[in-house]
Amino acid sequence: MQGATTAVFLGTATAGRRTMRPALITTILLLAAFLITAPWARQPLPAFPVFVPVYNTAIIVLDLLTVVLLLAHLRQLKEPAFLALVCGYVFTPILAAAHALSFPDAFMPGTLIGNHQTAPWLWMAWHSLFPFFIIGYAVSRRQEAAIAPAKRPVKSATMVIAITATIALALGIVFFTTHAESLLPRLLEGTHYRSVSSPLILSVGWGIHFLALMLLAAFTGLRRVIDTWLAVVLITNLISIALSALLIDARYELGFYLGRIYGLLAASFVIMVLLREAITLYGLVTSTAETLRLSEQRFRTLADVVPQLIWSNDERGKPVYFNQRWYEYTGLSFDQSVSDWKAALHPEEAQAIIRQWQEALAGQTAFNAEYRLRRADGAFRWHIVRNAPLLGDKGQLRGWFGSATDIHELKALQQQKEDFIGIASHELKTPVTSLRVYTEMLQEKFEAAGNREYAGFMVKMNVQVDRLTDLIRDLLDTTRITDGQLPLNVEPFDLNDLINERVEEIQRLSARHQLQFNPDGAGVITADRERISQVLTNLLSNAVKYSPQGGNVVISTGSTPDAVTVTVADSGIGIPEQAQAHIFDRFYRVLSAQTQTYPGLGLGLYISSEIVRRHGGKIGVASREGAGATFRFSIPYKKAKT
Amino acid sequence: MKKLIIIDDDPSILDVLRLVLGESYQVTTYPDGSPILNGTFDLPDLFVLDKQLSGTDGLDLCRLLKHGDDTRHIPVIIISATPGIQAMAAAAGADDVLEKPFRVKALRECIARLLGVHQEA
Repeated sequence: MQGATTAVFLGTATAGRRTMRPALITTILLLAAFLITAPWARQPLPAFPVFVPVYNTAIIVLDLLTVVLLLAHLRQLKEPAFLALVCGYVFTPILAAAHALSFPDAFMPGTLIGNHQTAPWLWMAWHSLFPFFIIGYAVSRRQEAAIAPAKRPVKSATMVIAITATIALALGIVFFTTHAESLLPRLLEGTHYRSVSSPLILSVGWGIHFLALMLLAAFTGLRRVIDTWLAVVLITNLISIALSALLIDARYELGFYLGRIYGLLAASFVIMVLLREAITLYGLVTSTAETLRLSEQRFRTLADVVPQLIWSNDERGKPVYFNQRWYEYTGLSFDQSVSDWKAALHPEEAQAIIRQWQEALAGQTAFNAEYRLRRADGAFRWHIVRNAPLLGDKGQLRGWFGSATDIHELKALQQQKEDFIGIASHELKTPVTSLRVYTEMLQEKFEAAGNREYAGFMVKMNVQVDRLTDLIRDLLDTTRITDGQLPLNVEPFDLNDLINERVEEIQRLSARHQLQFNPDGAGVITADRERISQVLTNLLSNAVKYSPQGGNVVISTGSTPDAVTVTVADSGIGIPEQAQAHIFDRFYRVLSAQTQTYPGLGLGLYISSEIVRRHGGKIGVASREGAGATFRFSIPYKKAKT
Repeated sequence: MKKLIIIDDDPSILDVLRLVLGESYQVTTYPDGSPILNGTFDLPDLFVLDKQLSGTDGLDLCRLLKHGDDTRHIPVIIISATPGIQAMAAAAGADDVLEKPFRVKALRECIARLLGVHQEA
């Protein structure tokens, strides 16, 4: 997949059927024109020496413009392949200029620089070396593995060095062909090409072009628009060389002129395509800008319509936008909001919130929090705030998008409810204390007076007081768990002793059940004894409660290297499969298909699971409906986190 | 007969505590902590303090007693309806804690133990 940034450059635009077609048609037309004109290539025409400097000037202008456009691409894309092209289009105008100056009778009788052999040698060098730059392009493209933009971006220094080296090479060739031409074989006798050396050297140039074409096709797969047009350039140059040197005997034949016109065409293709594409893209940008403006308008309207406060931050976290609702709520101006948004936080939370936000910024992770925001009138209201990183298509951070939803009423109601449960259960404990003391005192008195019947009533009454006590404790525990304050008093104790105590107590309550404890080396653990006791009582009394026909309740302990496990298995009514996932939820109660209902608030297992969880342990159940249930929990040996 | 001072702002709790402990101990009850704060009380052998009192916190009273030269040796039992009071009571210097609703047996044992331990010391 191409990135959004690189897709708008011709340099990386992929070639589709529609972009391939013009290149293909051009190639066919050029080849057809070549085939038609080739037989008359040797037709002598009048000599116009001035044709050469005119043609060369056009080449120079076109090549220099191409260099400018390619440099712009190179600066954006930093691909080594583009540097190779830039060098190619820097190289040719220098040789073209020298060629014009050394061409006999172009500006004045004789040559301005060099001698009669200079111009053909310069032409040879120009046409033989240019394909190497295309080969350089093709090889770089292969290394960069297809369409992905440069993984090793070209540095400015590299650009300067490469372009300077190219200019030095071109100037070196010019110097050599103008000053040391005596070392080179003669290519020309008068205006006639020498029959052996000239075609031989030209064939080498032709061969290099052919090689460049093959490598370009093989390495780039002609995937990009520019690849296809570089191929057309090479084909046109092949024709140009054939016409202007290989197929003719002397200067000023039809092929001489036609070949140079082909050369001019070859020089125009890349720049034409670059310009055409630039203008098309400009149009696209204009229409995209309009689409963007509409999209932005839509976003702003939406952001102003919703009841939430909305803002966005740049990648460093600085606020750059706030919706209308923000200004109305906070009473701050844009500048105040940018510089002083922290003032909208409640002093109690400000520090923690700012720290959390800085952590989110550093980690580029979503920020979620509940905190109070100051309203224009100074009142603080609870909000749920989310701020998510806005990522580019390659995962780079582009900014942040935040929203705050007012949850003040919800929060107040929740608090009211929790407060009520807390106060209510606290207040309930005082009368229950009195009730229990009177009951126990009465039981003692009846026992002392030998009234067993009444003493028995008192025992039953005490059991009911215990149930009431447990219910109040469960309600209070639930409130505290919700508030996140269930402190653990961690100390080492013998788990087997505790289980024995609990088993004895529960056994006393039911004669129809046989509680059986199989200790297996659990031993001393470090935990909150009272809370673990609560879990055991809950599991054991559940085992008894949900085995209405009586039967065995088997408690066993085991140990792993890290934790002790406690298992409570009964043979009671069991738990339906669909209910097992919810059995540890707050207020969840299994709806029995049977007529018998079981008392309880649906809090015991929730509290038990929370207690186990706070100790760093796990709790779970295995059961089949009608075939009993097996609860198992684990407590790590190491000191639990409180 | 050992002397106890019991402070609780709920009269019904004072009633039942007097009922349970009155036979075995000489019990003085106060509805708030002002006698302690003002120093207008006879030194008992043990204090029973409710955590939540009107005006003062039972834990503050406990701290005060545990800092007084003539009271720091006297055992203090905190009674409270607040779960998880143990750690707070221990920090205040209390000798034991009973969570409401407590059992008569547990209360008696606790007091006897603290007085017994104290006598031996």
